[in-house]
Amino acid sequence: MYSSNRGKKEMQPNEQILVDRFCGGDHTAFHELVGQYKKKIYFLAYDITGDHHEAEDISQEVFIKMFRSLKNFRRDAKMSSWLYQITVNASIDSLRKKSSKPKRSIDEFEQINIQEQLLGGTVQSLDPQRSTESSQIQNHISQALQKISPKERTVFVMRHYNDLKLNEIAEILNVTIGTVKSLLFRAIKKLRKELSSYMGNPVMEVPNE
Amino acid sequence: MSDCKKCQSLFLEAFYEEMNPEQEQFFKDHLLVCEKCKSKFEEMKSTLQFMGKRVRPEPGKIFWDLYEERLAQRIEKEEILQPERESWQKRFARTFTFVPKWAYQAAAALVLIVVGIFIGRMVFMPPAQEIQKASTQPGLTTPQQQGTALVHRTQSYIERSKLILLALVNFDPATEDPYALDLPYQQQMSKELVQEASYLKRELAESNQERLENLIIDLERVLLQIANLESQNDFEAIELVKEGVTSRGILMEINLTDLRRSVRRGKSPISPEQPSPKSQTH
Repeated sequence: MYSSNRGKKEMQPNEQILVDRFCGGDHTAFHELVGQYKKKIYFLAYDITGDHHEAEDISQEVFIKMFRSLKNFRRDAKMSSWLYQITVNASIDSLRKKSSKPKRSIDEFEQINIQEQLLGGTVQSLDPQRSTESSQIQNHISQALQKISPKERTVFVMRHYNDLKLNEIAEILNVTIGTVKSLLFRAIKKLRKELSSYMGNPVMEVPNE
Repeated sequence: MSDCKKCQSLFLEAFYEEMNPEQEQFFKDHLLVCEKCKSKFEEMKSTLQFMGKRVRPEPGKIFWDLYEERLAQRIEKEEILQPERESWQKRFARTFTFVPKWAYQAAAALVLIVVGIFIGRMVFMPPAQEIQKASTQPGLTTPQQQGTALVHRTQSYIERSKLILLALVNFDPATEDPYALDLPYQQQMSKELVQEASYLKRELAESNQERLENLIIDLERVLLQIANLESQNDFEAIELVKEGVTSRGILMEINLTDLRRSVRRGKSPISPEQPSPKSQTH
């Protein structure tokens, strides 16, 4: 879906040192790089696919690709952009393969996990009614995210949950900032519509990009 | 671009704090004076803030502690398979590395020759149907050619017989030297022609050329008489032969045959003798 990106920003100095060490045969450098990126990659894959097992599988695929290609990695490319790009492509491929299969609104793992996090050991969150209400909101948000298109969801989660700037998203997806903003506006409009019962206001008019 | 459009195009940058100072100033100033843009921005902001309530499920400490171990196992598993694939490729490459360059060139040339021959056979060989047709006719003698050969042999026979007959008919013992006739030579030639006539008759009969067959029969009789002459001084016997030639109209028949042949040659020089109308009635 997305063509390969030509990084415009150079690697960070510590990343460059790690790559040099790996090329010199030091495999601990690879583990350091994995440690640095594993959560970012896993959560981006999770946000796009909405599936914990798929996210783990994709994140491992990304690091295997990195392991094989690190020696040929261009020094003028930005490692994070390269890894995010692989992640996005793998996640969208995964969605395409799974498109025929029935979708799960929220998996068991997620359900239990959300409740654990919401409880968080605080007195307030021990209130069962409040906990159920929060769990329902989480469920609705997850469902709303799954209802928008993969492109819109990818751009939205990249900006809103993974803290990637608009120009970084454009660079990773090899599109213009205008396209990124347009996809974001559309995603927000659809999400507002899906979650209108919580918003309490009519669907906003999204500016035309 | 109007100020409202410009302001709305900065909504995302404003929410995510990606504006430069100049844009920020413009945005703040515009929202102070434009309620419509302010309302729209608040709507978008509330949606995004609501979406911010989403809690990502945290896989947990154990998941992350064992993540790299699982990754290492997977890499090891895939790297075990990878060398097998590589070794096969390397083995293949190694096998062909030992083959000298000229061997590849020779093989390529051979392939080109074979392909060339194949294409040549496909393009220039006559169709199989024609080959089959030719194979049913042994040698170069088609039925037409066989008929033409028979006609030529018959003509040759008639020509040679005619020369003997003319020599005999034109011989006048009263005015000419009997030795000028060279009867022994004429007799020898007649014997050979009589022998030849036996084959020729049969072939003409088989090809239904009755007129020529009859002529050959007549010639055979006369030539047999000539061959049986006892002496070149036996003028009475010579006169009997001459009378037989004249009475049977053999020379006239020979001339008619020549005439027919010359007429036919004007149409088709090698067409075989057509069966006579008499034979066709049988």
